[in-house]
Amino acid sequence: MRRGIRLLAKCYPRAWRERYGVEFDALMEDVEPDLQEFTNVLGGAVKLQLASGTALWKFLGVMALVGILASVGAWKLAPQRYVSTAQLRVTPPDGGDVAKAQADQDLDLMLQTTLSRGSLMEIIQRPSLNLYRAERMRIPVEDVIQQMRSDIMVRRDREGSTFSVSFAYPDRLKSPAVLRELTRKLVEGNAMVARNREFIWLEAWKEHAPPGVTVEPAAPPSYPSDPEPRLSIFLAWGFGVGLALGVLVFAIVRQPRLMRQLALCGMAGCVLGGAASFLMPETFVSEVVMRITPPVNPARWYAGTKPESFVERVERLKNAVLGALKNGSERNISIQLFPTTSRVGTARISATGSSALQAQSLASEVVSGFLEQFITEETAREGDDIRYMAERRLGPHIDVLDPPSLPQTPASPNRALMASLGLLAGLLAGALMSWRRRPSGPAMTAVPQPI
Amino acid sequence: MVTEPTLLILASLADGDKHGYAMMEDIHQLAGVRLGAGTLYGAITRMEELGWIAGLESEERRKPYRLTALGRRHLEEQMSALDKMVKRTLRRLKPA
Repeated sequence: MRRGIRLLAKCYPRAWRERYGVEFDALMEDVEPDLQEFTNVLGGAVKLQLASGTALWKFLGVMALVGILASVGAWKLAPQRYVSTAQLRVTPPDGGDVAKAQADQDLDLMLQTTLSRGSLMEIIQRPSLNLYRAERMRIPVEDVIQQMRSDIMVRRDREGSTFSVSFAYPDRLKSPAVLRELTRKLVEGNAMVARNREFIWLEAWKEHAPPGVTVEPAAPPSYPSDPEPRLSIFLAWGFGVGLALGVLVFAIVRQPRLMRQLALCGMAGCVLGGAASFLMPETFVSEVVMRITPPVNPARWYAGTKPESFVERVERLKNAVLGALKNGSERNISIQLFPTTSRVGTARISATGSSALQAQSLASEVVSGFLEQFITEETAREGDDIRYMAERRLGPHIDVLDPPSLPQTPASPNRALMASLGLLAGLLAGALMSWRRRPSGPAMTAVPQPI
Repeated sequence: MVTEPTLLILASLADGDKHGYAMMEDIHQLAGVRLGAGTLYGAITRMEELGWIAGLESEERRKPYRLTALGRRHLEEQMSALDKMVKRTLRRLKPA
């Protein structure tokens, strides 16, 4: 520690060291070297450097260097994750754009099914893998699944002939093991889609289905050697944070009164914002993800007609379902549509309630409404055309990918957001007050300031 | 408790010349405040610029400081103001 303090003493301004350096070094030999003394000498060096008119850029350079050094320490302490990557080859069937669109649709279906809540939960809870054990004890299951989804990355190349799947996890061996499971599910999903299509075509149209997309492993999961995050990312962050802190310290030393006022107003705003959020009623949001696919028909059935699009179908069903809800509950429902192609897509239904159970039961009611409405419509249309009779035999084409979730924490009020807004408002109010109170004449500097 | 470093240093030098470490020890005994080396020399720098203290010839690398007439006057003013405030406060505290 004594060595560190002596080193810090060298950071005082050169002119100051020429005048006081020898006696200051002698004092360093006498004082008790502890952390308090270290920070005191460091603070003195910073204040004198800034007070002696040291250029901002020079100070920022030092702070950036300190930030870079600190980032190396943070990198050593940060949890390391190993990223494993596998590649899959996609071979679309011959048949031009129609076949390619069908292949894209099938691939999306496979990915949605593989990354659905049930599929990921099965992988997480598998005894041989036992993933996110600490997180499962700490945070809701929904959040764990969401974390796993964010740890999985799917990238498709421009030609669409291959796509890579990556998974990042702290365990070097579990990362490729999980990836093997994901690729197996994708390949099996592909085979299942093909089997289903063949079955449906034979059942409905008494003929073989046209060939579909083929998905097969191109490169097995890699065994990662170096963990992530990379040091370069930490260094970049350290550099940026060091610079930002440098600007802040510079402002505090040069304008201590203004900065103190800003800090007080900011804190007051933050506390007020946080307190206001506790006075607001809590709301919970339950979410459901549904996939809606069109019936599988030979193209000849649609000759001369325009098939109903995904958005049209959902909008029609939505109006009927929400209209049937009682007590104005439809105001608590929001539906987001994510069309994959013109006829296929997913719908995310969010139901809001004053309690978790209320939100979940409302979401369940809406899902049941969609399924019932769909079947009712299909039954009513049976007599119209022979092709609907065939479609009817195939069953409803609504799959619930993620059933209604039971929210663990309220979705609103967002306390962090309100406290942040309060902080911002406080800072603005503080800046405005300082501006209004600014002295009209030159400031008196004869009175010594505490150092 | 007085914690103003400049006032503590002036008070410490009131009874004779002292170098940095001697000032730190004296202030600790006088006011119960432990000044850090960075705080002490930051204050010494400023006070020397203001002409309140003056450095003497170094004794084995340790430079003693002396209170100047200007510094003494400033200390007397500050102590007098402090004394008045203490007396008034004590009078207020006396039971009616």
